[in-house]
Amino acid sequence: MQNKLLLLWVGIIFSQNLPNDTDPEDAYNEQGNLVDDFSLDENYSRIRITPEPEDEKWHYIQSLTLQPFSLGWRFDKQLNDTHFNNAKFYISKNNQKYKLLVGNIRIELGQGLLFSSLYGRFKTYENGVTIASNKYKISPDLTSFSDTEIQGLSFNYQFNKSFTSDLVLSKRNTIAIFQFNTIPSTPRITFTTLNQQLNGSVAGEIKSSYLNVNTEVSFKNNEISYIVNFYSKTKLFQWLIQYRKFSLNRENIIGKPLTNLDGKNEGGILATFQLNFNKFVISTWLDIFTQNQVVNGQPTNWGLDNYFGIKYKISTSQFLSFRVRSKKIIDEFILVENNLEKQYWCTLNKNKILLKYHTQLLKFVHQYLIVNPEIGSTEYGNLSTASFKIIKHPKIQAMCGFHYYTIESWNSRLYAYEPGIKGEFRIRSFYNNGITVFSKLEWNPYPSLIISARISFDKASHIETNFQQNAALQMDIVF
Amino acid sequence: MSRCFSIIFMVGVLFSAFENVEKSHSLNLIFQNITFPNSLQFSIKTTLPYNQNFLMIKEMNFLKQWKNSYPYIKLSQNGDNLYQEVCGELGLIKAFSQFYFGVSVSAFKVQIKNYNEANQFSINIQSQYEISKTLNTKICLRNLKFTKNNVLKDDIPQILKIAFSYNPLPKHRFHFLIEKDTFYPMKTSIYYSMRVLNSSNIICGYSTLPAEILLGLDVKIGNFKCISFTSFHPVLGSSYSVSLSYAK
Repeated sequence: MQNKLLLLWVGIIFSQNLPNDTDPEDAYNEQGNLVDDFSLDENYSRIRITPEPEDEKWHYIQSLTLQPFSLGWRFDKQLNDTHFNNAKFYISKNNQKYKLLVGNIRIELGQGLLFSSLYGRFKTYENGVTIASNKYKISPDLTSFSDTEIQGLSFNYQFNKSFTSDLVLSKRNTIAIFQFNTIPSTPRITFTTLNQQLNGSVAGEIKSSYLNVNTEVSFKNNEISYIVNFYSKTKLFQWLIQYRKFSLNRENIIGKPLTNLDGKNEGGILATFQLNFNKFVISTWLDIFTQNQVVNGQPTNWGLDNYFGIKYKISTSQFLSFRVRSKKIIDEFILVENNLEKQYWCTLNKNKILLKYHTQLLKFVHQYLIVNPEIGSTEYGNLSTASFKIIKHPKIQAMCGFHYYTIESWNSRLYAYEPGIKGEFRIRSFYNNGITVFSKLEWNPYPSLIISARISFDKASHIETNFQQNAALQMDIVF
Repeated sequence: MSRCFSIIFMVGVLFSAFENVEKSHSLNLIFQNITFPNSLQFSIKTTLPYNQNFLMIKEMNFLKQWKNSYPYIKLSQNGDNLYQEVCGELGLIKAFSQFYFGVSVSAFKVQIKNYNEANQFSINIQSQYEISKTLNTKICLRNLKFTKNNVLKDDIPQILKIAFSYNPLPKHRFHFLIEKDTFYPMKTSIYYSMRVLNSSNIICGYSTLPAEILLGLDVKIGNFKCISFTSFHPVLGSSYSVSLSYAK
């Protein structure tokens, strides 16, 4: 019984380890937005085919600007679907005074307590300050995410330079946002109703040349959550101190957990520092956090997540990075034995070392992981990724690479970014022993046409077929 | 009796209700290649798939330019007095600086002798781009939204069509077509057309599902154009198509 409970806890903790361990710098810009895709302001058509015999997928996106309107739609089809589903649509009309949007809407506000960013909150390795971004974005949603969608109408009206308001009406929510653009602060108040309950948040930002402060305090279901960030950013030195406290089982309005820790709340203090001098970038963070456990009456867990990284710029396009990250969770639990409550605890450790060498044509990353998934057991994982640009021409770009890994089990799995075709964000998990070979081709025969394709072959001890193939073909017309 | 056998055999190869007119035959595909609208177009067409009269498709199109827009009407009919599908489509294509965008509404009617009639309506969209002077493309999603029907077992199929037309040399043109019906695997077709004389083209091609070889000839006399095609399937036999159009 005791072992089963222990396994349950271990399973819960390690199943929550989502791709936060990966290096998002490959696909994200400094503002935390995906850079490898078109903007909805552009006119484009995209058709993607994933021609897997067991998992065929079709994907069709169209975005058009037909003055004074913009419109777009998206359809997806999985193998067994009888129709194109996940249909998304929007039509918008913008003017200097107002913006009207009807259809699928995505809202990103403040720190994401009420409306979260697309990929949630994460710490980036070389720019810890990005976690403090104070977002205010109401935009059409043509993403593949179905759990973030709001279907309805959004109306933004700018009364004057210092006061803007938004009203969003959807099936489930009525959302009112008031933004005051006063210098140096930008307070924002949001009210929303969900299931006939009033929820809201107050977000604000004060900026100065030495110190910036931003915060969001939200209440949902009569519980309060908040985040406060103090940060400063200069060319030489960046730092951030964050204090956060989320209420139990905290989710945003559309039901997405604020942390990747399902069923738990989180509180913590995060400090990040980054120093740039000469050819070196030194970055570090320390995050001390607590987690309430799923089962009531169990004590609160706490943990440490710390990181140190150093990057040496050999030249403008060549650098070497070394990173160490360690995550420790002190897991406490109470078991009843012979009518006596006994308190147990175990320490779960995850330590990772990463070495990265990057040039214009070659990228090599090696990750080494040590985890203690259970008391008295240690597992190791090694993952090497190399990618090479084999053709670099204005009209054709081609690259290939491989992942080679020796990883003991799923508990010690490692994640790696694999270049996808435009609009894809491929982070893959690896476990057991194996090799993956991948390649990508992008061909621009004409300025407005991009044909791209990728293919990868997986060979691993848990894959029955010799080389499991995964491919995609895409056509983008941009004009 | 032979017709009964033909029907039983073809059920596995051809399509269920609403799909004959909508999808029909690979000979129909070639007419949907990329031609930018003229100021006035009128055409009639007859297709005889696999030499079976009860599969015959008759079609009529009319398009007229109005400012920057091209309203059009299309009527098609398929079948015989036992089973008949009729489709009417009313659409509007609007020209923008670099592309055309169109929306249309289709009305379908299926009549089966001694059974109830089935009627459905659907919305279609299409976009057409001139990527360069030598490459054009067209994307079309048929039946993106449709009404439900209680009479027929299956819903109307959604069909995504992508077509490329590439003419690397003035007298030579290649067409590449992809068609994805949500009920069936992807169909691809490739055609090559070569201009002979000043006003005629010889066309040959190959399409999958069912695998067929196509041969055709179009002749242009003034504003009139006559197109004739034949295709061959090793088991199902030959299909024929004739179209006469007027454009200016």
